[in-house]
Amino acid sequence: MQEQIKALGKAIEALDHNKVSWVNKHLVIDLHEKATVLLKSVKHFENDELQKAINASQEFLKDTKDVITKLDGGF
Amino acid sequence: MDLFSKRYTILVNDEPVELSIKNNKIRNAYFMDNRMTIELSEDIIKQIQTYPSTVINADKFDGNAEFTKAISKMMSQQLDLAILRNDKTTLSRFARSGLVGDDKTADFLQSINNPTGARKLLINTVDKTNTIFKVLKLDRFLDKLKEKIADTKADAFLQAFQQDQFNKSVGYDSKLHLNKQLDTELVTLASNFLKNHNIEVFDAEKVEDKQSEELFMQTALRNGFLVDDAKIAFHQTLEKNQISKYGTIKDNLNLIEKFKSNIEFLEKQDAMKNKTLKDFSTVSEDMTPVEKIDILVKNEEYLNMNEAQKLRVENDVIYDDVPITDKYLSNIDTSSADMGGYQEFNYNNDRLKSQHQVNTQLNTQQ
Repeated sequence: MQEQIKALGKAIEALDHNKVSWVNKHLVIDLHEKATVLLKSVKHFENDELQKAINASQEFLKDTKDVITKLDGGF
Repeated sequence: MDLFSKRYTILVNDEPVELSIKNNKIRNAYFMDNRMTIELSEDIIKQIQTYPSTVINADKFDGNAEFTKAISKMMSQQLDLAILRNDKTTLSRFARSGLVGDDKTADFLQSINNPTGARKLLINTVDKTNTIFKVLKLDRFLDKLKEKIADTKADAFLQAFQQDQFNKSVGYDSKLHLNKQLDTELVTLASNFLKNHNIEVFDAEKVEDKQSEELFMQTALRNGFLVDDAKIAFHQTLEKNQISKYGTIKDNLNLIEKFKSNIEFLEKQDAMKNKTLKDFSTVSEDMTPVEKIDILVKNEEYLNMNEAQKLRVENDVIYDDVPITDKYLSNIDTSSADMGGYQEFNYNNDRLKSQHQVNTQLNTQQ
């Protein structure tokens, strides 16, 4: 779980809308908000809900991997 | 209640977004000559209305994610619409502006629709992640989160993460941030916090002050504000409180200057009595030697001196203005120094100079 939190923390940090142009900012903000919700969920939920949140986080991190790599390297 | 709607212009990378606001609601929004839909919260609308000018740079809302998201979404819709309609005027305007980014190739449309380009990649990722949240039933998820998060303390890792974010936050710069527009709720939160904790000054070296700053940032974060905004709000409110209580540094410096000149004036007034030698030196500060003598002969302390002392004083306070005398004074018999001695010294000095010139000429001839 700690690893999930750490990975989501890094994703939140990387998903910074200042790195992209104006027409794309809302997309990055959307991903940033989702990452924040997932981080809070992993931290606060228990039992079944926690498991759901962890699975969702894993999916989310897998899907956003390319975007985060591109954002880190500069679009 | 407003009778007429008022028009405001928000400049985003020099491209204007025209907003007509009536009764704290957006009536119309225009971007690149097309009517658009834009949703902004009442707070942001109030900030726009209270701004001193009707033309506002979008940088003023820097850090406000809600505003950025709304404007960006509207622009994105405009771009999509222009692509669908093949509206070349709007597309060329987008191409010329800095709103689309730097990944432009010769063919603008091709670069936007490039599957590995920034826009396509982001749209695909947002779609994919939307599916994850649909499965989670996001609304129920968020409601539960709100219940769980309320008044719960973050664990050690989150605290470390938070601390890291605090350390990375912007440094407060009075010139940049004193007049920065912030969320009114955040400003109220900051002013209440400072009042409740009785904080009037902030010393970055003091541990207690740093702890108070962090405590406020934590409170602001829990209320959904950004770290940078929270820090700016803390220091901005503190500085504004100080200014309202003690005035600005400029005001205080002016006051000090005023006091200084008053003190100088009073000192001079007191010195006009011309009792001591100090009084004399204060009064005769900017006078010529001849004027100085007129004042000196009326000085009480000077009048009570014997002749030798008087002579020394005259040398000190009147003739000392000629700097070269210091250099050669030891060669002159000061006990018999008078105006004659001074002239003799000048005469000797001139003779030495001409002798030196003659010597130099002889040396060059040889």
